[in-house]
Amino acid sequence: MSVSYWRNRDRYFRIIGSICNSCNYESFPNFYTCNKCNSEDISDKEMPNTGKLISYTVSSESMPGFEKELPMSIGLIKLNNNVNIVAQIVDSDLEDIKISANVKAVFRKILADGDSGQIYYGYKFKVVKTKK
Amino acid sequence: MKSSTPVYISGYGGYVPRLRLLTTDIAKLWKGGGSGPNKAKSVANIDEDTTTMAVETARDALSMSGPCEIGAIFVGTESKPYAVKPTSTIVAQALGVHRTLASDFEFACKAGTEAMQVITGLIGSGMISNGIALGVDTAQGRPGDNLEYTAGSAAAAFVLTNDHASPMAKIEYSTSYVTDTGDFWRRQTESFPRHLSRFTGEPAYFHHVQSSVNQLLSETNLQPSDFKYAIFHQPNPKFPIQVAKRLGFTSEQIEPGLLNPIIGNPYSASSPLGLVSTLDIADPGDRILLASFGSGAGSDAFSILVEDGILNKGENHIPLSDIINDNREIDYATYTKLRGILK
Amino acid sequence: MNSLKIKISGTGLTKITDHWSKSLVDLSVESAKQAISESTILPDMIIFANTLSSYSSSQENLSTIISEKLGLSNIDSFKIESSSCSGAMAVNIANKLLHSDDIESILVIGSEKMTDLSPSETIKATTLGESYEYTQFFGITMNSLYALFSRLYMENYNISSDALSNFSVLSHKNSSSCKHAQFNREFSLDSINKSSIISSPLTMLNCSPIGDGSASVMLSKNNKSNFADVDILSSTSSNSSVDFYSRDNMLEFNSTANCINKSLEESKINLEDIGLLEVHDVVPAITANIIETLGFSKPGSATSDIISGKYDLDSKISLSSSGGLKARGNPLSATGIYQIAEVTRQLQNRSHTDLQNKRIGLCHNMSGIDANSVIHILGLSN
Repeated sequence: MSVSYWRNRDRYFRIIGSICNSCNYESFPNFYTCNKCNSEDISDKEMPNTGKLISYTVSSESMPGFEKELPMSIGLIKLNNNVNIVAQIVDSDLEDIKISANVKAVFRKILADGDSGQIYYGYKFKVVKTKK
Repeated sequence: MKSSTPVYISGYGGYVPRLRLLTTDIAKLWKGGGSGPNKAKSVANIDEDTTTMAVETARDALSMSGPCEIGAIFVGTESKPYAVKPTSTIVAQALGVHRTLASDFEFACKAGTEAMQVITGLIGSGMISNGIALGVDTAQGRPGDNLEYTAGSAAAAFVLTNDHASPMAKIEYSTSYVTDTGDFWRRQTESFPRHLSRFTGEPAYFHHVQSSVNQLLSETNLQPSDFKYAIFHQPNPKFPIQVAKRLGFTSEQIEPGLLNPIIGNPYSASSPLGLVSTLDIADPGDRILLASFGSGAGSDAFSILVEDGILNKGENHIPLSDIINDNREIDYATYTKLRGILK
Repeated sequence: MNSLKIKISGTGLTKITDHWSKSLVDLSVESAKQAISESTILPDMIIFANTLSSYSSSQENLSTIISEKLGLSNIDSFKIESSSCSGAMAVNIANKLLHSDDIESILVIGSEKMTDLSPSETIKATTLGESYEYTQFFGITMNSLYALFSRLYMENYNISSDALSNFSVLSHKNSSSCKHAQFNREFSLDSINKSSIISSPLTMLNCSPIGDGSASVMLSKNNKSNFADVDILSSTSSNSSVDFYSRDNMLEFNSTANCINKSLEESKINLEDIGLLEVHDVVPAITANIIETLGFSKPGSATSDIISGKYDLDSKISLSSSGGLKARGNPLSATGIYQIAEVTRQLQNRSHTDLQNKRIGLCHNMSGIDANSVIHILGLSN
């Protein structure tokens, strides 16, 4: 897990996906061949860090290691470049977690490998409340 | 101390976790009633730590300054997630910066201002053009100890630069004063710090803060009245008020930077966050005194002059008061779960 | 594809439950022996369908181990894994291989042991088919992905999760007299809606259960058993993508859609000819979307169709006659083979139901949220 995390850390820290240099189609996670035009001329691209919630759920069960984070809110987010991403929703009151809510990416701890292993960081999202 | 090339603050950011614990909840459990000296303290959530807050606040500071070549990232903290492995390299990776100095500093609550001093020196010497100084902590107090009321979590970051184009403020002058004074400490394998109660007052906080500030005033020939604002380290709401009075500063001067009553003491972020809060409302031409205190012990004092650039903080900047006001209260049971006190 | 129709000449299945005293090999041998016994022949090849063997039993090369335990060490054997459609995928591969001259019969065994794992490990086990790097790593569970999809489906068609629970009601009604089913009791709509929330809006009784089980089918060119001939009229598979949320239209199940088109063409039958329907009914909204994609209901109408009785056991098209994934159970790689074994027995008039005049059945098995689909159409030979 440590090495796999290290390999992906830029993608986890900066939400780096792909852009097709032939047709400008963007994707997250990254791809090797463009899903739209099949071009192999692909570059890394940082995704926007804001978007809207298009679906959500609150889970009462967890993957191993995430037990203390229950209940866990999870969202399906359409980023501002139309790319969809699934991520935890944190620091948001339940009544604010709804379809069309504005969200922005935050840098958080994903998991710690016990008390002596490494700590894994990555993106989550939180609801941005519009000012009244 | 004054750098040969002027050094400015081109961007800054402040971060306070959303969760709050009222000191009445703490006092109810341990004393059957009453409250602490502060009303509430900020508590890091289960997925927040020094590193996550450092990254967020560094990004905010860079968002204000605009893209620039970073040559140093120093994180001042006493709550490093790793005893060995720097938080600063994770910040660097998250910013996409590699050709840089990076290190974590420890000097109790003055580690953040220590970072500011060192980066000022690096820029002033011409070795680097820009650097980020951070003060970040998720402070821990032993359950039932008085420190538990105030030990809070927060982060502050400053982008320092030699670029005089339109900075927020200028680092006019600084001093530093240290002695070997063990008023508050934490041994290597201990979870919680220990302290010498009332000894943390006169021989520690007051002696060092007064020494650094008096030295600064003397070397610059400035009077307290030459300053619009003053920020002192805030282990509790009372000490900064008392030291301000002793040094000749008024309550109006210290008011914008006084955050302990509502968020507690986020250690290395304490006085730096007071600076963030003050910069949010300062005008061009205002002179600000910043004086930190770190147990062990020492104090950094700065004279900071606000520049015209402060009027243009950029559309992404959220005032610290808005960040602090977006909060949610938790109870003591939730707090213990989050702080991992119950293992 | 030539006109040769492969036959289901033997079936075997274990009860689906927490088999504390039976290992993965025990279960596999149990269902395999039944299928061998029913078919009265020995296979030339064994294909083993399984997903979790290394994760839950620290064991690989099971196809060899099981062959040996069956006293069939000198035949070809290998394992197939395509997450939860491994079972049907193995049958699909067997069907293709049987079209070659050298092979007369293939025993396909699908087994899964899920209950040796701790609760959170089990949740990881059901999520292994989703992206490790972008789903599992972030603590996102399979049921939470199902829930995200369900909410999209509900918002799009304005259908409540309470109404969708009717799928689970029907499943439990059908499984109540099925001996091998994990659940042998009915649940009211109200109790399903009021069961505890797993991942909102999905309640516990709307999510398919965790259980151990093994099902086997003997596929052969000739049927030497005592039971009526059941032919594989078509066997098709199709992939789409794993991350359902990256699709242009998240409600479009392209893998299932491609599969049904290929199936109808290959089998030369019409949808109206189908009397038995098994789909990959993990959660109600997905069940509804599958049924609509297959063409049995109009888009958004599967729920009202089920409420009106269109898919009842005694209607023209019986859905989930043994309870489906929801009530019969879902031991991942075995599920697709349970579906085929059950439909075969229904067609041969030897199952827990007394359905008359059922001549053709369709089994749809899927991985993830339409990541891959496999469809078998089975029919009584004339």
